[in-house]
Amino acid sequence: MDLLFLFEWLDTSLLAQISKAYGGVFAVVQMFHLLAMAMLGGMVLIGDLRLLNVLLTNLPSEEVINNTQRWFNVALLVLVISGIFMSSAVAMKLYYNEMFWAKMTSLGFGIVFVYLIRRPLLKFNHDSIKPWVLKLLAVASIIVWFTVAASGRWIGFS
Amino acid sequence: MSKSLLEKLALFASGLVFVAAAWFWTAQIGDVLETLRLAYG
Repeated sequence: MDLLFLFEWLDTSLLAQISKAYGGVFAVVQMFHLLAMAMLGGMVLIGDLRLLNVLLTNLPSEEVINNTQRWFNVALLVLVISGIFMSSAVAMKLYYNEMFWAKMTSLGFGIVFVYLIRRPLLKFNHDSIKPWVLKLLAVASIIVWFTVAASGRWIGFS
Repeated sequence: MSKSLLEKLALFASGLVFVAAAWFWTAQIGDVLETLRLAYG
């Protein structure tokens, strides 16, 4: 499915007019985007390193996962909203950028991975889940979100 | 969904992530090395 029409619409939308005309607004939104990225990365690392028994081993992993998941949700929401605003400033450039699509693919996969697999599985008592499945899940989760962040940064170099 | 089905899904998705990430990052690093080779010989 060709999404060109969506990017053409975004490129001429009110969001694009604001993001292109007011550099200060763009910078503030970008600041929130980066803060949310740091928060999301932090929550992923804390939760997954707990599953790998690397840190916070004095706390039950269920408690750590519940707390990090809550802030992960907030960070993801801020990232998506601020990301749409920032994309509107360079919508057509992004449409033709391969790395942008790599980021969107990994982001889409990451969202499916977290909300359809990781979170439902981790609602069960962690002692009842096979330990190596937990560890594979944690490593895969770190790789997915690293890829999202790194391919996002890579957009600037491509 | 049952726990055993979720475990299988987690296993499949994790495997997919490992393979896809290895392929993707190998290709990206290969591109960078090729650019450096073109620039510096």
